[in-house]
Amino acid sequence: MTIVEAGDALRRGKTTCIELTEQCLARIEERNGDLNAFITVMADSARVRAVALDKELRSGIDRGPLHGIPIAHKDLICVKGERCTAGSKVFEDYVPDYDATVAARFEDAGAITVGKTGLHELAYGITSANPHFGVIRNPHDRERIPGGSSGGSGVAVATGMALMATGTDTGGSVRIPASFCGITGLKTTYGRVSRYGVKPLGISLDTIGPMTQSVRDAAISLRVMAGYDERDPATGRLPFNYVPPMPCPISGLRVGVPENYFFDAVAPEVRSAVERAVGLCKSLGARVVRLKTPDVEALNLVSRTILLVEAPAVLEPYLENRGQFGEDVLALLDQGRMVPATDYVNAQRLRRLFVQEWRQVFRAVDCLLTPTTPTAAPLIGQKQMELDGVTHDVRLATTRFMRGINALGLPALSIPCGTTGDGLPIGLQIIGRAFEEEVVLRAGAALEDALQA
Amino acid sequence: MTPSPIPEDQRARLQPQVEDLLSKLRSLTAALPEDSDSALVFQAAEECE
Repeated sequence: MTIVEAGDALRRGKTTCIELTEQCLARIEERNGDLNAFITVMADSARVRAVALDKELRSGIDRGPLHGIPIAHKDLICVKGERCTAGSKVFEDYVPDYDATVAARFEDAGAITVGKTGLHELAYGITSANPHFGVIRNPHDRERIPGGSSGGSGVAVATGMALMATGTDTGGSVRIPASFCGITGLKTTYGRVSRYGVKPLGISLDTIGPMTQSVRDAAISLRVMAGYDERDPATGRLPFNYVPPMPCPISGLRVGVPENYFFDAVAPEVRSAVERAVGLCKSLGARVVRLKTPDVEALNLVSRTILLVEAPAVLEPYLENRGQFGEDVLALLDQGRMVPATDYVNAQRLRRLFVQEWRQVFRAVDCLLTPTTPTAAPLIGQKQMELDGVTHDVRLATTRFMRGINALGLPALSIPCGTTGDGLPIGLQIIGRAFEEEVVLRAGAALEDALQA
Repeated sequence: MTPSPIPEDQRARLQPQVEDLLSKLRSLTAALPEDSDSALVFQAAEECE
């Protein structure tokens, strides 16, 4: 059930907030033991709140589309009085006495938080195989990863344990689990959503976005999340107040399809699913423009260098006790500490140059269509994958179409665009100009409608 | 706070990956115009808003 459907049923008296909440809690009870999507389940507080929100609706108080909707927060987003582990032993007993801005906004909008979802340790990785809180499993094949770092959020939404879950994206962490779990995930423009009360990883790259069952649900959720916050100086003041109409016209939209990089070393099923989506865009009246993008390898390298250094800048104080960290995260933190400051500064100089180069691309088109990930979900524990006869590192291959977008600060939406022969979801990425979430959501909604027709 | 040092065996294990990254990055940096700004340029006007 989507947020739109649930809201409609609520307002027509076909269901109640407590019924919606009980449905999600029942799904958690049924599947969380196996899939491990949640670190903390907040059943009691969710039920109390649902009853109160039902009472509000009966007395004529309607807080809007999120009223009575069960949601979940990634467990690095502070919710007052609830443990916030960031998937780390370092924070396993941390209980914040305040709400993150994003949590407070959902609270004000009437959403019901059913729990805190699991993640890759410290949001620094793509598998969500967490050494402290256990492996999170893909609901489409429990032997495969759900992606990360927002793996628990992806699983929670894909299985109906929550109708929306927050995720964070520093190098693909919303879009990867969206792609592997077969749901919608929106990486927002850097500065669109306040990071106050959210554990940082890469301070100049971190973004927060919604993970939902539909594009319209993502838009509805972003309307709640977005906006200026004086406690996060990166936030912008541009308003966001868009929900794609039904039907959603894209006639005349200039849709760019890269001829370079984004279709190299891609599984054939992924390539053909994305090409089918490109064909649908054309049939919907969009103008498809084949183009060459600036050097993506270089952009990824810069984004990776910046993250490598920014992560230990935040987490170094906790490295006193190295045993608290998983092996993969510790290796990344140590690598970052080995990068000289001059190289970090030069990476930021290159970043500025690349931002200017990519602005030229978006003069010719309104958005870009690419695969989100080059393959469907890898197996748990898989370190390497073969693509076009070449062996690739799973982490680097999985992030290669996304990582650079964080350095550019641009919004990017991942939506399901088909399945493999084994029934695994395939993700399509739609990238737009800064603060033009409206365009990627518009294209995404039109494609979603066409793909489901 | 003084950061805890990276153990030598870990440093040796990671060194090739870091060197590979830095060599690629430095080849890009070499082509940068001398007067290019950083993405982290401080903008006083914005700070004073």
